[in-house]
Amino acid sequence: MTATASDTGPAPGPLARRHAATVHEVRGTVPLLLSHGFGTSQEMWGRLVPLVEESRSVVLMDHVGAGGSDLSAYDPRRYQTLRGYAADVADLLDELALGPVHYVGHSAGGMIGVLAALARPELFASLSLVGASPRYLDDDGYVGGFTRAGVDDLLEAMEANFFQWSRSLAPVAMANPERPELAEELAAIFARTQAQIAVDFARAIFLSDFRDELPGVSLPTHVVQAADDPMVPAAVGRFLHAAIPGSRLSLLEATGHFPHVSGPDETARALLGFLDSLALT
Amino acid sequence: MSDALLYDHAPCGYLTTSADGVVSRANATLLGWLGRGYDALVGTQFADHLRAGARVVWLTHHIPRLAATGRLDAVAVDVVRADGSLLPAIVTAVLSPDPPPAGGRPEVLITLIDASERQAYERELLLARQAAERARWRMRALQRVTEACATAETEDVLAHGVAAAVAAGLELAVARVWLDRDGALTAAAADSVVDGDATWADEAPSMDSFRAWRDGIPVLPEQTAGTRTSAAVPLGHGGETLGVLEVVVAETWRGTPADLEVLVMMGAVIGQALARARMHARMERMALYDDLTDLPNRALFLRTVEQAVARSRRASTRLTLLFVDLDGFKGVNDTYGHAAGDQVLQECAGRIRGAVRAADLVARLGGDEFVVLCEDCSPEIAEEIAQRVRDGVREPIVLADGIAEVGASVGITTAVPPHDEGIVDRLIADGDAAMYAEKAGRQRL
Repeated sequence: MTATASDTGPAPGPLARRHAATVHEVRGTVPLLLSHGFGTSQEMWGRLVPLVEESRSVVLMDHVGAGGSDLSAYDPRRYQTLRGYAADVADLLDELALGPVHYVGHSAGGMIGVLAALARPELFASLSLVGASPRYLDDDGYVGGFTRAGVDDLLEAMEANFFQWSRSLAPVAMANPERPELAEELAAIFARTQAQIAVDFARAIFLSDFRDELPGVSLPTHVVQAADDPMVPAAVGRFLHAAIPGSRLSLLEATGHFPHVSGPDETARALLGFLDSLALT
Repeated sequence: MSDALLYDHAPCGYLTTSADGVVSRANATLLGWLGRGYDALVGTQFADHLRAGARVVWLTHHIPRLAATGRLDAVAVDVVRADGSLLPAIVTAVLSPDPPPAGGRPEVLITLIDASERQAYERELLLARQAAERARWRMRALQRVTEACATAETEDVLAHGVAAAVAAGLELAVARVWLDRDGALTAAAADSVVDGDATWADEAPSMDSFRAWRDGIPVLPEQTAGTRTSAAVPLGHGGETLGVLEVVVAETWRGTPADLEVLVMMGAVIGQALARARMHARMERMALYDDLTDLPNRALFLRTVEQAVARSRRASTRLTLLFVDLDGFKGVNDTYGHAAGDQVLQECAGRIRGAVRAADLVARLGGDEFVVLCEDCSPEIAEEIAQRVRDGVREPIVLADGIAEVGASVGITTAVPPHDEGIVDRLIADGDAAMYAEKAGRQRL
């Protein structure tokens, strides 16, 4: 595969703006769509992108509520479950019209990709799921890593911390030195919205159960599991691998929930190795 | 005091972790607070010492923020002590100014302040604020439903309006309105976040809906988070259950069972609006239909005939009216009483309806006078219809205490476009005259 030209920039179109999507193009390649997870934004891919963009087109996006996305597009009813986020991914791909993409989803971004691919398989060439989980709660022989009390604790911690960490989010939005009072007011609204969205997102992730959906995945799928992921136990990676027909499992030496941050080289090698193994490139 | 002593015994906890969160140093104050030895902390993941909820927030929100901005200011975190108890702490963190090894990332310097007292107080404040926000959320939803009720004139518009208002206001997966029609719960409207819920009208009402309808009391879940549930409240008015509002609650819904109690208030508001819409529909019907025979009355007939004149003009078709007056009706009234007279009128109304074509309109003008409006009808067909009316009415009518026999005089009048201004009055006058001519002829016989 030879790259003929490359070009990076924000993608045009209303949905691309809504998701702060950028497209880096390496002609003749099937693009990678990098989809972040809970609590983060496309910035989280910062250490991985330089390692893949030489040889591949890369699309970056923020889910509504995260990073540079359009907060006014947030609809609590639509985003009550991951299906709302999955519909966004499909809508965005429709608008970008890049053809099928290699989807790489981290954490909740993984299940969002699974749901999108089940609804619109023609938009995807493959799925790579990094630190993903179909269900976080333990359940009758299934190890999800969280007890019900633990999830209640998490939701309570988030809600109780609501105002506290909405304050901690605020400075991000403060960028209007001429009108500080306006900026402060806007920042407060912005921060509260973001905090509320984060709590909703936590509920959508940690109280859901998509295990029954997995056998329906018909795309080439790569399950990537880091060592000692405090969010997703290794058993979940094995479960995903066993439940998704024909999937491939990579166990990384990189530790933690963010192997693309803690071990970007190894993660990139694993991701590209899987893609190279596919007939499609 | 040496710097090392100050580090170890400062009145706050210090620790240093690698970029990946592994503890590399901790001061004595912190070890004392946590009841842990140096080796039980150093070399482990700092996140593993946080309470489950705090751990997730730490890893997914605080650490990425620290990486992005270089610092983390005063966030609340619960740390687990060796004995399992919790230390609520305020944590501040910065990236180490020391240059990292080549290709690595800087270490993280973390300060902890014991916040047991403050945390409990703040938590109470926050919970109170949260409770107030939830109450406002519920009231806004109720307000939306009330507005939908106020603007809806028909039952159908009302059902669709409130289904949408309830679903949007309380952020529910599905809201459905079932209405009691002839003693059965019937699908009326649904609002769903999932596309393609259009076939729901073929579904039977849920068990919850059925119970709420039968017993006239709300069926509300005891638990919502983590399980997909449903709730149903009766749409009641004056002790009568007119329908049911049913909702489906996603397992990831923001609210609590307590929030669903607002559905009871919504059910009462909707029930009242439903009763009003039904009354309105009934009154509208009373103004246009004859209560006894259920036929259009004179007002609706006149409205319809005006429209028929316009159609006849446009399409250049004939317009025919058949005026029908019962013969011998007064005698039935005198012999058998008014109740029997009413029965005869109802029976004859049905027979006239049975004698005309499907598109013809039969109306009762008053007393024992009926009229049939036939559009685009040849003189031969009009005569055939008239004869079927006479034959139909002539059949004996079985009463509770006897048999009534009446007849029908039918006058036919026709207009061919172009119609002049007073066409409707002239048609009525001519039809009346033709009918009386037949009646007079019959009486002479």
